[in-house]
Amino acid sequence: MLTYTNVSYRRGLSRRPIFDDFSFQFAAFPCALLGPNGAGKSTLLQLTATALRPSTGQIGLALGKQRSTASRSDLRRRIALVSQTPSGFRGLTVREAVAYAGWLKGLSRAEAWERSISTIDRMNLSALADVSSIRISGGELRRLAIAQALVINPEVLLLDEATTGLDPSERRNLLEIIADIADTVPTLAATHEVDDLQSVFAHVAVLLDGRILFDGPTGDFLGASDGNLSPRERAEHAYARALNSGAIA
Amino acid sequence: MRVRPLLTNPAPWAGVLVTLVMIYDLSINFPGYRTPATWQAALAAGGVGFQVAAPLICAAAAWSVGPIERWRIRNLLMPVRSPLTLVFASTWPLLAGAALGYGISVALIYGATKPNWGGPEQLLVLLTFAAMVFLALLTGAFVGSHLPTAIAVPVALIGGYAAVAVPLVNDSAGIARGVLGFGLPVSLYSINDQILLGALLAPVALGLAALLATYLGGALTTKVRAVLPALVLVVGILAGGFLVAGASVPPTESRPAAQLECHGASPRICLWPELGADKSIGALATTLSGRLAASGLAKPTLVTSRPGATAPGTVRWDLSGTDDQTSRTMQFAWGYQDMFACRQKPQTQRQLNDEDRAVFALAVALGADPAKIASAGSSPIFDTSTLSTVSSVYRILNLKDARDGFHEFVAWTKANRSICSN
Repeated sequence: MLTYTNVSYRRGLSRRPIFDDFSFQFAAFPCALLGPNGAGKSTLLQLTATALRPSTGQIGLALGKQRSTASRSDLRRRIALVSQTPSGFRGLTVREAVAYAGWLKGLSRAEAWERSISTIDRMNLSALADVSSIRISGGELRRLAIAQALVINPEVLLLDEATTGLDPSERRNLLEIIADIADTVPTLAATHEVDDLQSVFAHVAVLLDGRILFDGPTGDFLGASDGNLSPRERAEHAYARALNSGAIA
Repeated sequence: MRVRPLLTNPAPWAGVLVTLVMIYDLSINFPGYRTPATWQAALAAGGVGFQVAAPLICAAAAWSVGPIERWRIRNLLMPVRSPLTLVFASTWPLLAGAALGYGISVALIYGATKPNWGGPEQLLVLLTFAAMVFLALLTGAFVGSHLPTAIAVPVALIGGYAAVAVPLVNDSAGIARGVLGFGLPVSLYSINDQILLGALLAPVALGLAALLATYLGGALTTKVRAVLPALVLVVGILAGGFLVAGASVPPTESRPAAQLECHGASPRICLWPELGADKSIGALATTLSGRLAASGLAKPTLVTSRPGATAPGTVRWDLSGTDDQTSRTMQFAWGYQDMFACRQKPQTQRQLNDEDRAVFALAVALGADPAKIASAGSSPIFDTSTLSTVSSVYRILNLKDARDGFHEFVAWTKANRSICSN
């Protein structure tokens, strides 16, 4: 369970906070975090992964009987975030980039190197293990970034617009991988693409202006099936409905 | 994990370069690798290569740390490890190269000078150089993390060079020279001096401040993160400046009498630890004092390394630690003559020459090799073209034989009384 208690955050010297006294719990996973551009999805994920620091408030993580914790290094060990725009590094091969991420998160060099091979295998990147990480495609880069996140066996995986900008085949491929991961690793994925919601995510949360407008099972979010609408249209309608309810409120 | 390729991490080859540059710079600044024969002088001079190596370390650190740090941040790979660990993980070959270059430099000086052990306080120099290297490394890493590599590397290299060179050649930048510490390797010219404690601690203060600021930069919350590391650095600079404020150039002082190691009673012999460790030096002082007494001259009550010792019966024995037997005897004779001389009284050139003739005669009488004596202590009484023969030295000193030197010296002491009484 990811818990946010009175979290406030404003970017730089901006007068308007992105989150103001935000309190919420993500209790069910895999969860899609929907919201338009600027809603605060990426900011929320970065706050959760401690890439940003809230000006006030606490963020905690509790799974099973484990106690919730707000320690920064503890969150970093237990939560992994995949960036919206991952990139390769000239000096590192695919396997080295994964191992380096593991080392950054506290694994020993030997353990990170050992784990990197199974992780890139899980992401179907074994054939590229010794290829420079700057010489792989956009879809492969996304999978590399997910491998970097998974190498530490995170308790929660955060994905920020993981499929944005990919061609349809790469996108389908990545969604299948994410669905597979989400079966075993609690996953919270920020997205503004509502296609395939039901096939990957059991829960949906809608974020607008630093507030959660909807939180519930994907089925409840989509509402009753209307035979005249395609799954995509049905999801878009539900999304618009949620946003409108927020605007009215 | 293998070491990253050389293009993205220059630390391995730059580390080798640092080692080579340090040894080369030592050979330029200390021909023959000779320094005053103290451990502090050897350890200080061994770091002369840092004057060139520090800018290299700064630039290489910018190149090694900057690109991967920016990539890590761009990809939101939030580390559990401290910022210091991240920096050292990329740059340890630079530290290894600096340590190796320094170690070889000190070994070369040791081989040439062979200083005897002079006490643990000498080791503070090691801490000072370590602080200077960390400062260069962390500065480079900071610059590299905040500027594009193509800009960061030249900025670090030129800035590092300016930070070293400008204070060294500009006396008005004395505080900066003291705080950064790059003047220390060329500070010590005598075994009788030591580097001021403040001059050793000032770079340590700044280096510790840089380490702490780097650590705090990654450990604190947003509001104080921007302020506290800068504040710590300012405190480090101010503390360093306070420590070297008013220090002389070079920042040295006479060694305190407490460092002397004394033994014996007649005469009492008090030497610097480096000299005292060589038992033959103390034995020579006893022998020379005995020869003086046997010839009817007053036996000194104290033979000491300490400058400024003027108590009656005291011989100030000014040794360098690398002297041969003749030089030691010559220096003993000078010190003994000071017991009788009236240095503050004006003297004619003829009187000064007589004084020189007397002290050289005494040295010969005490056992100094006449063939080497002129080179052991220069004087206008010697014609440099005729110094190589013993007979020419005897002729200049008006001696029939070596023992005649005592008579010559006694005659001078009598003549000298009139100078002192005027």
